[in-house]
Amino acid sequence: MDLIISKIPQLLEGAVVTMQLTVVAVVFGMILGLFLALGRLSKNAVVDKICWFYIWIFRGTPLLMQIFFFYYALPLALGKTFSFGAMTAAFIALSLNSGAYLAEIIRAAIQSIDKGQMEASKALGMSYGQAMRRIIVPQSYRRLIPPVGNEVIALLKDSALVSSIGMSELMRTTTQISNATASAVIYLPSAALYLIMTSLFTFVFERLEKKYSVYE
Amino acid sequence: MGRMISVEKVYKSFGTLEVLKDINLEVQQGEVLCIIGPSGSGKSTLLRCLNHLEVITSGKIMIEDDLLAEKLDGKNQFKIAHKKISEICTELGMVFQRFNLFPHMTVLQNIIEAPVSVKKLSKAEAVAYAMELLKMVGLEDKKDEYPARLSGGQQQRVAIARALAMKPKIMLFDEPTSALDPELVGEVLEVMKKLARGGMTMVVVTHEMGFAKEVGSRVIFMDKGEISEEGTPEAIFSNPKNERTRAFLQKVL
Amino acid sequence: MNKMKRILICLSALLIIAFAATACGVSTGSGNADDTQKVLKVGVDDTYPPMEFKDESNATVGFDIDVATELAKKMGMKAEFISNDWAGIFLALESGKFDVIVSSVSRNEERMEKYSMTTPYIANAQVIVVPAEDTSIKEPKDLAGKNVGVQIGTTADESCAEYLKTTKFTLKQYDQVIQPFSDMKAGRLDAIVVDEVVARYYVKKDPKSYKVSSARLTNEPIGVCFAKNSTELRDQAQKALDELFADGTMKKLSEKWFGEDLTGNVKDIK
Repeated sequence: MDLIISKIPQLLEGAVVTMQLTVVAVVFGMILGLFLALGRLSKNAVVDKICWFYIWIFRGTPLLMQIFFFYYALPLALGKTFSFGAMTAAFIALSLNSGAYLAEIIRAAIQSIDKGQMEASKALGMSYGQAMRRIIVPQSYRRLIPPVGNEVIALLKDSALVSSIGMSELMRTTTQISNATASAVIYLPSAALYLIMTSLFTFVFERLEKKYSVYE
Repeated sequence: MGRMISVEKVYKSFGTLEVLKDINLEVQQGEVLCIIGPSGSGKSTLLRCLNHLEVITSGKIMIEDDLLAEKLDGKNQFKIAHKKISEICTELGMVFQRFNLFPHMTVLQNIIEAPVSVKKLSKAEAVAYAMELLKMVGLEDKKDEYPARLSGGQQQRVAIARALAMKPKIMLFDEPTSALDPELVGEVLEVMKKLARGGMTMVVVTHEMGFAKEVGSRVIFMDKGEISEEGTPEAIFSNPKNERTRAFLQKVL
Repeated sequence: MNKMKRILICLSALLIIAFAATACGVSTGSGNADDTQKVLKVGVDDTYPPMEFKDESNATVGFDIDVATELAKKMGMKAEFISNDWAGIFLALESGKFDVIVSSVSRNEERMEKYSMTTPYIANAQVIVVPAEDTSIKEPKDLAGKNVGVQIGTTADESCAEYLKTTKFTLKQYDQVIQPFSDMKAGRLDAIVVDEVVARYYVKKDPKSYKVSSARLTNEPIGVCFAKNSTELRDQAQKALDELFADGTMKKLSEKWFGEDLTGNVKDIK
């Protein structure tokens, strides 16, 4: 017990890194995912194909491999300009990866909006962009929230994979403590911290869902 | 009296299925043109071609003096800019069978959205006009409700107000009462009659023969993608010349 | 539609620039430090006590850490430690994440060929850890028929693989050095082959569960590991290392971490 208490600050530091990784990956992933989704819905076949290819690659290969690619392989292939620190490589890999998953979630949500909404917007003289921005995308928010919530929680846990490139997020911090103290008991408070973080996101997404449900 | 719509030799196919064949039609200012006919006869498609929700395969459509589309065997005869098409289409208001109100916006937001974002009206101006329109359709007290809280009839009246907010010269109605419970049809038809009396040019695809008879200045009967009979309401309803018109009217009246 | 496309392209470009900017910021930042302050970037897998690990206050400490710090000092530089998982540590060295690995790197033939290493600074005996009550394992050949655990990719792993050619036993490989110890406690392992210094650390922590048997596999020397092309830096480090031996620093550090001088005869192992 004393051991656990004395290690709490160290675990919290790791948890902060885990949170940073998750939040950055979700924010960039959402922006990237939105544009990928719009690209997939575009009438331009080339744009559609490029976005399809991107999603195919990032959903079709293991996240761990992508992390290794950005950390180890890129500088070997392209020179030291591309030698990112572990944090940057982790941000890039997690953002690009979550972007691919979120793109498909966003695309499905947009496509689930009744096509009468687009027709009504066009009949009122709105451009495709205006209709998307003002009418279609805002309606997709509510449908986005449950699957995006899932993705965020999955991402938070997947961020443990970046411990493999030496980032001391919660998982590696736990391993470091466990190795130094020759005791596995530290995994208990660590698991509790993961639970607290995922619960926090669950709570936020439940609130958001309620907020966007007012008109239904 | 000016010519508002002119349709010349229009054909429309979906793949190999031909839904409109050699449609020729003119609509004059202030006219209320009712299009009737069995389902699948192409009446809704014709209406949707008029505001470019569907693109014709061949033929020519003019709105007032502006060319909306001119095609020959699927190819554009003239390159018409997207912007010009959007501009022309704002002259036409459209009311849909399933209302298509924006569910995430209140009644008032639904109505002012296009005037503000497309016509760049100030919000105050748009709201003032929206309130006038809501008064006209009898729904001032519902301005802050979300569409889901309204009955079908109320939603359709909001949809009419929303279309009118763009100050269109022509109103298109695509079976505006077909999705309504019978007891709610009347309130929507009342609003449409009010509009007709006010001199609005209207093209109405409808199954409401009573409305066509009472308000229509001209009636078109469509069957299998063609206009098979055209005339005044009296002529069509009391003395149809075409065999198919007669058979159809017998079924619905 | 066209406008939409333009916005799309602009924003994607922005996104890429944003990424590139953060990336450049990081790399040039450390690059500058390298030139002006003479930082020696040292890669360590800080999950390997007592050689390199995190202490109570989350600082990176250990025998290697002290050696690297003293080395850098003698070279007129300042050591900066970069944490990396053992599994990718050589890849990271090659891709320029750090200048040198000071993380219990045994000087085996393969590494001597692929990298540029100094002479050994400590001997690294591979010992066999057994449950405290065990009496069956007294020499390496007693491993026959047993369940034996190692950390994957370590020299212990390699020597076991070599030993497997002549003796039959079940080899279990683990990601983390602590894992075979936990597994032994759970009764699934009969023996662990591991660096002597690490073995002593864990046995001292829990003498009721483990003991170091009298059996030893090899006696491999540990060196400082540079990338193949960093010969200049390697030569500087070699000189610094020789000085550390000469002025007694190495002896002092060994006594601090292991309670005795394990570096005394290391120069003789070649």
